[in-house]
Amino acid sequence: MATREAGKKMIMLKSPDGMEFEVEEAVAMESQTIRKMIEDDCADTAILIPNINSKILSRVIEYCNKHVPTTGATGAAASDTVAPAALAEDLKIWDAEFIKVNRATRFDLIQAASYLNIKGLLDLTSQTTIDTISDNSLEEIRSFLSTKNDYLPEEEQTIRRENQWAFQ
Amino acid sequence: MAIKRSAADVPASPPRPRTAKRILTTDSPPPPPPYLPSEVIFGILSWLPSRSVLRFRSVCKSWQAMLSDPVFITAHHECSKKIHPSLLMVPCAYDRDDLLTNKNDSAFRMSFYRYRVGDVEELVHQEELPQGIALWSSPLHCDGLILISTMRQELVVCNPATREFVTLPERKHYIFAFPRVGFGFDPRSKKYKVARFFYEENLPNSKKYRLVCRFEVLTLGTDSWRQTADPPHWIVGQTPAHVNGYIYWTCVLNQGRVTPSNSFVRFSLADEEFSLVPHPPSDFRPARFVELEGQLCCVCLGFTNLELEVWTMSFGVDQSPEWSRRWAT
Repeated sequence: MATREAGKKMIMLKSPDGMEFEVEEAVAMESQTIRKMIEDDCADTAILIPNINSKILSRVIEYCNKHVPTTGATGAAASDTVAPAALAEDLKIWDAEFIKVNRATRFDLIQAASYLNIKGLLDLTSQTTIDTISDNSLEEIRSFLSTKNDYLPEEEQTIRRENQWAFQ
Repeated sequence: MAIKRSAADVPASPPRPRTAKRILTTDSPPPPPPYLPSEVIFGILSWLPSRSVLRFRSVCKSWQAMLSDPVFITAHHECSKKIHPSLLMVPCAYDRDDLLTNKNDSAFRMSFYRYRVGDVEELVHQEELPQGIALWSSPLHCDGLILISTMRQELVVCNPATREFVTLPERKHYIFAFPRVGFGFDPRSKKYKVARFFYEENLPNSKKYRLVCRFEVLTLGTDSWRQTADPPHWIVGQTPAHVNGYIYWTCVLNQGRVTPSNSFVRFSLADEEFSLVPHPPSDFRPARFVELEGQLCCVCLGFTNLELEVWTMSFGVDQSPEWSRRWAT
């Protein structure tokens, strides 16, 4: 990581369990929710992230740190030597490692990404979830996402018949 | 919203969502499945493969409603463009010999393949089309829907993701030549439309024989063709391109004899009206259209067909079309 320049604006993010994280404004602005607060000038130096605990918030910050576009004189010098394609490939590998977490953590990350509106993280977590559930049985899906089957047996038969090839 | 707090406020704000979670999952057996808001579930399911989307319609009624909603279908389409960059190959017998010998029945069977870069192609689906696939027109596509002309001049729209094949309603004309179609999405009505031109003799019994270029539109989901005003010029049969709610065709001027035009005919799917767009300022002749990254792209060929230029069209501040040369031999 490039060394932080003294002139860069820092933002304090606070989790409800009392932890504080000092991050560069550019990193925090990877979250569209935080970006809006900063742009609307309703964020002073500290922002409380109400429903994301420190464990998840630190992972989210880790993600934003990695994904913030490197700009500015010092930051750009390092990344100029790396081709964009190689950089994207490197990010992909990093993402794959990052998302190797248990289901509960992944769901917490999805909620955090959704609340903070971080599109890349939301896509990553959603896509990973899909990879694990797309072949599951309907019963497994219902319990996985706590959804109840409210079809009458004959209704379920009809709807299955309409989409029959998908069950083969 | 009220997320902004000064540092002094922090201890006073309770960690509200923990309780919310517990309340919503109390009737589930331990360990409680995580609660996700419906918009988050919507976001996750947008990444599903099509087959799973169809299967998961049986999960419960609210999922059936959500997964059939046009908003979901659009979101799902956007996601699948990102994760499955794929080619759809529709091998047909375009060779006359193939047709005569009926080699592989290929003109009567359509095969859908998925191809990912660096991978072998995977056969996704095969469909028999006893009507035969017409050899004079290429299949058209829009948002994953494919439009095929059959040998009997029927039009078939198919959705390879759901494996639905729908034959469009026909209407009898006194038609001089095979009608040629364009296919696209009307951003205003949010409907897919098929638009085609055909030639008609002005008066079947008139001594002053004249051909007239006519035009008609069918909105998918309705059962009748609607004739529009006549196109400003004669449209010719090159495969048209659909870009952002407009269909572009090449045309010729008919002033006593057919002369090449220096414009394209553009049909707006929203207004169902025509306008003209100038050719790119190239010395070469416009030969083919494609849609490229949301822009109209025109390939121009030199006289020997060995020289080639690629132009793309954008719109200036006053909405006037502007051509720029992307590539040249």
